[in-house]
Amino acid sequence: MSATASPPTTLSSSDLSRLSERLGLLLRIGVGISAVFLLAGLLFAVVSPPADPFSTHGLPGSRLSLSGIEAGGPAIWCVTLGLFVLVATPIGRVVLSVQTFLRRKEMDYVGVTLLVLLLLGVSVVVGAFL
Amino acid sequence: MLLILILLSLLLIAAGAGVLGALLGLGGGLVIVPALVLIYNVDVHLAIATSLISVIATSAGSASRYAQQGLIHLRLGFLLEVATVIGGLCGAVLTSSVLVGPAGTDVLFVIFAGVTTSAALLLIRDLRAGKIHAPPHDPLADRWRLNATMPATGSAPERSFEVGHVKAGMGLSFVAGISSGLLGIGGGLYKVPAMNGVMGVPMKMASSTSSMMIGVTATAGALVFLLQGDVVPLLTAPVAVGTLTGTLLGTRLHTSVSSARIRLLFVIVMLAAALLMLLHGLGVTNA
Repeated sequence: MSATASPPTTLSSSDLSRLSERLGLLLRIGVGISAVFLLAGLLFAVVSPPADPFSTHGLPGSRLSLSGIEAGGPAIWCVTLGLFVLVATPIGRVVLSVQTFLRRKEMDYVGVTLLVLLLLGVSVVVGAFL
Repeated sequence: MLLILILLSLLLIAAGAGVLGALLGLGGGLVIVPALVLIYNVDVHLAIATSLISVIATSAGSASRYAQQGLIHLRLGFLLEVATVIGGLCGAVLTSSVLVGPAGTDVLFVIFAGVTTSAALLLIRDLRAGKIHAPPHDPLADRWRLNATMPATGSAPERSFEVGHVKAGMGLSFVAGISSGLLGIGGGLYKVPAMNGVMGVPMKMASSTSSMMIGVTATAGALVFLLQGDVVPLLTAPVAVGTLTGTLLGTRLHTSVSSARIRLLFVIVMLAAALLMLLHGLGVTNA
């Protein structure tokens, strides 16, 4: 997009509106894929109800119990997959923002968006290990 | 058969919360948590985790629309997100690690009642809100290039505005984040007044920007709950799908429905929920 060795600059208003559109599209795709998995899981649950439908099924992380999710059958793993896609969607949105600011070398906002990403990483560590 | 009924009713309640949330620029969490706890007898921690995940769906559904309309103040959103995400993380850790056991649950109920009541009061104040005064010039807004232009909407022409009180906005965003992780709500009820009332951002832009921010705020908390195993898949799925459907419906209704009456109804529902949660927390009623 930008010329090689372009000087540091900031996102113009047309850059920002393009970023807006791409963020909107990304959110739409993420939530759409997630909804498909969640609906599929619900259908599976209705067709062949899992033994203990309202347990946590050992969901997941360091307390990951793949056997627990497997024992729940297709309903549980479909829903679990959908939930992970859903949670990944805002993270993808932050990654896209980092990349956009990086391309325009708007370094203070590269820092801001990277910090948000880092904090989400802290969430993962806290959830999985603490 | 019973399972189908439970799933369907969850879907419907969540859809209703989604419509209300989208109409009022709030997540549906203030309805979903009390509904799960009081109607379905779900443990309050699991209800909070479920609601947080539905907030992500609400955010993605509504923000994608507002983003394409150019109504989101991206730089401001990204900057305030630092504070809301730190808050969201702190709130989730408090809920999942400190406020456990019966005593912690009681404390959560009481906090929830307090926050819901204050939100209801804010909405009542909004009903007769006067003009927003432009905030004083803030060098931080220059530093972070926050002064922006509100695109033309409806009959209102395009207009540029200055953002003020950046530090106060960051502080309120942190509080919004804590409330999100602690109670499973989006936190829009603090972010919207912070941006609109304190920082001088036009209302439509404030609520649109908030709808983008609540997704990442809720994600900070949701990751903690999800990875700690505090999520019930078959409880979360219908609630997430329901709120998403409701949100999509609500953003479409947004232009055609007068929100004053809905707002009043919402206030009544919230006050009732707050009262029930308070009685629950104080041990007056048992579940």
